[in-house]
Amino acid sequence: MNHFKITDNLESSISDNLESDCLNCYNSCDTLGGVIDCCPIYKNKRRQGKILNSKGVTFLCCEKTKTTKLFKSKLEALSYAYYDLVIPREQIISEVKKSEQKKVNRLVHNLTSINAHNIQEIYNLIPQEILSSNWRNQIEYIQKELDNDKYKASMVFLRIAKHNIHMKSEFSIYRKLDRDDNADLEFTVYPFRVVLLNVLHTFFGDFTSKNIYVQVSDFYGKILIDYETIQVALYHLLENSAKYSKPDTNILIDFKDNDKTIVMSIQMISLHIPENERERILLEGVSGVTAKKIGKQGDGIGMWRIKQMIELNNGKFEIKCGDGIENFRGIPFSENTFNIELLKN
Amino acid sequence: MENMTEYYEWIFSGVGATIVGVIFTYFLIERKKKNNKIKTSSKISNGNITINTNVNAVSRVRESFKEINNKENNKLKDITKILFVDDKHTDFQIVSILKKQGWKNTKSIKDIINLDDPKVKESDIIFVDINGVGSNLFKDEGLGLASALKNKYNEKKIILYSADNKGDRFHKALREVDGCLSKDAEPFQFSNLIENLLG
Repeated sequence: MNHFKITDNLESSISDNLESDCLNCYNSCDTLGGVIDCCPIYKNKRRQGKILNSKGVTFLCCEKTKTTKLFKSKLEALSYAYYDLVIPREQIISEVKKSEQKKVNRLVHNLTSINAHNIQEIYNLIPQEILSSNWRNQIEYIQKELDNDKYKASMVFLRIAKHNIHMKSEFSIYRKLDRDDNADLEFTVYPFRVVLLNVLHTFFGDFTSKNIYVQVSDFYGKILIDYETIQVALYHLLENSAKYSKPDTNILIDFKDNDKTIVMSIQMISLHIPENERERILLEGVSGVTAKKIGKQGDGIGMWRIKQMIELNNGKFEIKCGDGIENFRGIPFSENTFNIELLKN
Repeated sequence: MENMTEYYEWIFSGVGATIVGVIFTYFLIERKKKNNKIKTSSKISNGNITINTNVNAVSRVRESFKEINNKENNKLKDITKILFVDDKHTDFQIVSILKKQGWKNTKSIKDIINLDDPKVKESDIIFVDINGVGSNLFKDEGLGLASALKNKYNEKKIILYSADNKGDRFHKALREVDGCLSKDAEPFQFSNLIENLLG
């Protein structure tokens, strides 16, 4: 690898990729091209040189340049060209910053709104001003309030747990997809049903308020997954199920044990997906027309996110859209099945 | 399940008693040979009791299976010694959560300054935080500590855990240890990993 350092006349570094062990070489180098016998990093012969021109100082250290003449021309070319590259360099940096900033902004925005839910859940249960004005007796007060409406307190607890999973899923998306050093997946064997139930139980309130009964078959099979990313997929799938399924119906969750994989199928009566939407619905930024019509569409990332996360786990996501339509309050519903297939090990 | 069994028992004994009662009354009314009738009725009631016992037997077998499973699990939970090395160990509840799950011998310490520390020696599974521990002994903190622990005690299971991403993704410790967990992993992920390592 070549190492270099370019400083301007004010001695401030414009760009360099020197290691801490390079510092000695840099300070002691006073030729336009000389050979050092043993590089402290690569433990071999290398050629290095330093050139001073009207703009500043350029240092270069290469392994493979054979002659001093060749090396000198490289060094000169670098010293001439680099200062003209500063403008496009600034441009590239600001563009990278912008695209990174966009990801971070999205994360901060989503976390802020989830956290807002949590804050409101807590203080809707027990008013903030009462706690702050009676802070010495607040524990007794909280105990009393919790005792007075145990059901409400339990529902708040569940919703906070759900928000936690949602937050975690936002972190996972950022950590495992948005960052450059992604693919930070941690594959471990987990019992499929428990992984599902860990997310599902937090949606209890959403399903009961629509009078939807969720039936989960017994199953003990295990899958090899990255827990965090699968949780993102399950969270989005269940959130969509709670949002788009028909009230007063049943959702059946079943498991099929194949040779090398396990398929979990979630069967429900939910918004009808017309044929022309069936492929597009899995793309980024696409919401179903009916979802938009009833004003329940999200950012159109749910289905796309689910597919992406399942595929990161070497699995398959498939939607079997029902063709028969039953109308309920003017909204078309069909029997849709969502299949998640994951590897056993 | 226990309640159900009791319930069934109650139904059966209730039904049994009623049948016996009805038959008894019937035979009393009929005024036929008293002794024989009582024998018959007791036979029937015996039959009911037998069913009862069968139900009990089945559930007892189930219970005992459950007990065996639980016992094995509990035994594992009783004997496995888990140690958390975390400079902020008092801020997190994971030790208390694991104890509640039955992993009785779970402890935590702020740092390891001596690899021969008795707490280290006795532990079967050691969770090492990447940041803020081992800095007295190693330049690369938790990663260095985990690597040294694994080299010294190959039979112990060493797990790295951190709130950050894993820092140096190419550090050799990440290949040497038995697992990695994010600090915001759920209690279930901790216990699942522990069970996987022991199983």
